[in-house]
Amino acid sequence: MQYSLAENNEPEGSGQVKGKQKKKFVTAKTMPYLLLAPILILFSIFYVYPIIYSVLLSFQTRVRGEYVFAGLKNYSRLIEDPIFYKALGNSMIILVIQVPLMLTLAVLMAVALNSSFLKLKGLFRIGFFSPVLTSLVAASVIFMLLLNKDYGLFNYVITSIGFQPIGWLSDGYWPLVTLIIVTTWRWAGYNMVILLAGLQNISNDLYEAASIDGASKVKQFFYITLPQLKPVLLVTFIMSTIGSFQLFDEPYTLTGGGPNNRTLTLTLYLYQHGFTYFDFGYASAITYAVVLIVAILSIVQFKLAGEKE
Amino acid sequence: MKRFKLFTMLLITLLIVSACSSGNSNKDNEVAAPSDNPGEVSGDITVWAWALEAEYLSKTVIPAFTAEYPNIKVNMETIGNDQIYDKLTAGLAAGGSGLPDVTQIAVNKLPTFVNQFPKGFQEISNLGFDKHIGDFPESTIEAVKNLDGNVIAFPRDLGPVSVFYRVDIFEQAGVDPSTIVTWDDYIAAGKVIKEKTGVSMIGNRIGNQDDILRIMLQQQGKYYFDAEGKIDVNTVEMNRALAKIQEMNETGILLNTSNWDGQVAAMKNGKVATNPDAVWWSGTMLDQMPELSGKWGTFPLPVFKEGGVHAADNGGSALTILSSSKNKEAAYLFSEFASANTDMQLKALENHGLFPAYKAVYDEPYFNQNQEYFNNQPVFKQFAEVVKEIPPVNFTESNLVARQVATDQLSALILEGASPEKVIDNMKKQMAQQTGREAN
Repeated sequence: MQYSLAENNEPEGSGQVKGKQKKKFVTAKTMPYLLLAPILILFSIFYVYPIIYSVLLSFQTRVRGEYVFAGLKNYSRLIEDPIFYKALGNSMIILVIQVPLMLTLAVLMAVALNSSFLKLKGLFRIGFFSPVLTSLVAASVIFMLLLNKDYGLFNYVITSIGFQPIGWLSDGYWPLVTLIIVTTWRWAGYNMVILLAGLQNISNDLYEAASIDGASKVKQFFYITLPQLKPVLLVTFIMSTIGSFQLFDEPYTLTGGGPNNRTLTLTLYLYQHGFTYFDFGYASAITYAVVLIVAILSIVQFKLAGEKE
Repeated sequence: MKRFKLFTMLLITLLIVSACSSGNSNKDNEVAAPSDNPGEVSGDITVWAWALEAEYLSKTVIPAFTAEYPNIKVNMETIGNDQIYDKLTAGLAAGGSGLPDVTQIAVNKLPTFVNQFPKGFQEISNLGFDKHIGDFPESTIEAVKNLDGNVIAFPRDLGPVSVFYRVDIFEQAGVDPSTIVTWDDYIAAGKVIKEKTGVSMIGNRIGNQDDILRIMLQQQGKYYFDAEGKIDVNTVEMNRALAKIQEMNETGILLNTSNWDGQVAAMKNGKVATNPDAVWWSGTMLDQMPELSGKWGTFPLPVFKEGGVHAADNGGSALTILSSSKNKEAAYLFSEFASANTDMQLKALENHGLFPAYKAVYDEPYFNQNQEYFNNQPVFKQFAEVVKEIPPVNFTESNLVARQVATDQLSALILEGASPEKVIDNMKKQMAQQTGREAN
């Protein structure tokens, strides 16, 4: 590598003959690439190469410790795998129920925290954001105590007002409900912060003009706040969609995907195959199925949001 | 964002696996048997183990071992159970870097690791271990062999199964545990206890474990796989076991304890009257519920038909030498000392609650002593009796997959009211689908 930082683009006085000048390594054109080189090299090693390699791996299977080419076997196995569909179904339910629920909450919290009459804003903001910062392992230990069927606080409250105790982590659809509650608890604050930033970009003039025209607070919310927030909402929506397909920590620590796969998510399923059963070929195939689904959903969301403009 | 971490982790592991999967060589597998003169062997070895085993190795084994082999220095690293597997996976995938000389490993995980990394573990048969084979139960030796039939791990502790029961609750309900011989007797007793005391007979971590099913299968000489490694769930024995579990659920004597902590809490708080499980529960009981001393006893595992086998094994771990070890001689001597030495094995049980797989110690007086915690019963003698009868089963490297499917289907049986036939059908299909094995 040649460094010629000392020589700049003005050759006068440098003693070099014009035309014979060596090609300089650092020029205005190459400088951005040089500055980006460290991150690009790391990105290639830790992202690009593994991404390409996992594509190859998804066409391989392991025989006595050696990976051999297996064609589309992993993918045809995936298409016939009922547990994969179960995990996909769970992720879809979370997408359809949890994401709108969480974003609605996040918008309401953001609007409340943005209002001028609220005292102790900082305290509330930290309070709502703190679940994001909490170690989920610690939180899930506490959740499991709270949700215990026989001695948990939740069931103590429920039974003391005359209802039957609920098997939060075992009965019927409750484990999935629990998962939705915990995921919402954890990520609503995160989305709230993003939305709050969006809210603060909305010009006060709009609200002023609306108040002068006699629009109620509710009307202002639906006709000013929401439309103005749309680009930010779209971002949070797409991120939450991707997040719900990558949901891992919460089911891993709370339920391990059980009982009978009722809280199994796609990422948890690929983790099981990759890291518990060492079947990296199949795990890679699941990964690419997830990638495909998320890509399609994101395109659909962009299109839907774009058409309304 | 944090959620991307897992994805990245997977990709990095793939990278390592890809870069190094062909890097393992077999040349290191040729090692001479260790020297007989303790003073001659020298060097440093590193050992990984978790929880009780780590305590046993560091407090009991290492002082005694270094007294005998003064020139061998042992570095003990206590690492959590799950972390050991993650670190082993990464290290083996990287062709043996960053690995210890000796590591603890659960016997039921061994086949999965050996199949993934066939050359990662040192064969010990020809290093001198063959002379100890008769001192261990046959079922355990079978479980620590590699694909070529060579022993690759030193069996350490075992999980012979009996039924722990609450003496006071049984007395209160007027049930005599010696009358419980079959699972039908067990269920009948459970109904009486539930009726008179309101206490459930058995706790089950539904959705988290398949222990009770594996115990019931093994005592009948069956498992999820047959001797050839074919899926073997469509059997009379499986149907019988599932039907009994279903009956326990329908008669209301089974309490869903959800997870490990729930099970411990249920036992501590007197919500369950029995726990048919492995001897290692005694360690947890002594540790977490000392106030129940004298209130627990044991009786043999119920059978399906009179004259049936009362024995099963649940759990147990082993020490294994990694092929990447630079000092295999010292590693062998240490592992042998820790697993096939009468004095050490007795102390493992006495001081650390680890039930030895080394049969040769079962005749020692300690095994015949009455245990104060267990209602002054000689419980360890009873567990030692169980060991002799444990039927060998074939775990195969698909063990963990099969156990997950069985755990799921057990939840379907108990929580969704699926019939045993339906459960068997689903198990067979899913196991075949997930493992690619043939099914009977």
